[in-house]
Amino acid sequence: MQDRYFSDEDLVAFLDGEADFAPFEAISAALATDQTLVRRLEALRVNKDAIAASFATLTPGDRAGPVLPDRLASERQFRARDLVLAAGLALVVGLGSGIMVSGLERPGWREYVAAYQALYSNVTLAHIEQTDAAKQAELTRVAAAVGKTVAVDTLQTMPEVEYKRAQILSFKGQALIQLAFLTSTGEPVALCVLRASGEETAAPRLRMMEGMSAAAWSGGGYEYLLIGGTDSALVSRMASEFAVTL
Amino acid sequence: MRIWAERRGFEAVRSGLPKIFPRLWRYSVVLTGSRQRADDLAQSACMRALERADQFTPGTHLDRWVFRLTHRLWITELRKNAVRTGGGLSTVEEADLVDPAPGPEATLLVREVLAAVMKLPEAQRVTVLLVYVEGYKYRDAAAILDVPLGTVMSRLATARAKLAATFRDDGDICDAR
Repeated sequence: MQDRYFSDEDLVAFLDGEADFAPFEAISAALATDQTLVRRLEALRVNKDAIAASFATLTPGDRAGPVLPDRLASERQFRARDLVLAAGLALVVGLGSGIMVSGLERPGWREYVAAYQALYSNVTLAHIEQTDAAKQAELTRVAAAVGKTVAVDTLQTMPEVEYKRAQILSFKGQALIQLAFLTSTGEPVALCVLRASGEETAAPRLRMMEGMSAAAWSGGGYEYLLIGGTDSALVSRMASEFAVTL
Repeated sequence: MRIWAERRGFEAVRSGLPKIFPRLWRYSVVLTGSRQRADDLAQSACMRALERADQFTPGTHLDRWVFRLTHRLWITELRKNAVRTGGGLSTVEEADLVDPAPGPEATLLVREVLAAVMKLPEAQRVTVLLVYVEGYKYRDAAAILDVPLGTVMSRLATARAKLAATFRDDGDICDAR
């Protein structure tokens, strides 16, 4: 005869050995005489080892490990506004003491692109609707500015991003092309391409720029920057694909 | 001082993430119910952990900190996107969980047990994973999931009852604790 009711939570804590959350002695004593309690306990028994063994088979296998940037976001890139402050400081120091501050890292084209991309929002691109033929015609004209040929199909293989438009920009007189995408969650992402000065090849590296996910790589005489939103996994996947197809 | 603390936290998180990544990925599978969504969640969680590395105290448990952060990331940001993009969350397809190249250990029972746990509602299966697979105490699991202790206990009680009923005739899973 059971004279004290134990909840299922009590019994589970008992089975799990969580002594702080189960009246161990009371349950143990009751089990000696109460067959109903014994049956209730049986109905809650599972083989934790079997569960653990089953989950041991759930592994990432040969999936790539995490893509981890190797620097802090705050250290990663010299932001354009930082340069303005630093330049102002250099000017003051230089004028005051005759000493020029040197060695400041100048922001490159990618930092300018990042600052520009930070101004994009969903509505910058959401209204743009073009046929594939129109996209291709625009793309052919724009890509030629950097001596590239890009097929629109290579930009439209991922269902979670929609290719929107291509534009020619300029960085210190050098043509820079911007291919704009909108993700399924409405975030603008841009792929920017610039002719490289050398033949350096580098695989995509993930980083944060201006609070956005970004991936930079180079190869085939070009430098690339993919940037936008905060979905680093998506940016990583896009970069891996474009590094091969473009 | 702040920059030094940030750097120290960053290095601790960055060097620790690869070691816990298989567990983080598995945890992500259990949260999202899909290998593909787990890839995204695990990667996003790594990036979020690095962004917030200044909040991590080196020498403490990185796995618990990352698991908690991952759960919060899934609940507050990514789950709604998964629903919106048609990912669906209520049904977990066994085919999506079975390793494409299973090892000899992937016996029928192992697959059945895995499938049974994964068919539990998200809240129950993630609690089962944390307590019965990862081996966290109730208190730790409650902290990771940001729920009261009683919620952990009631989830486990419900999950145990369902699993025990599913495998009632199978001594391998019921004949134990």
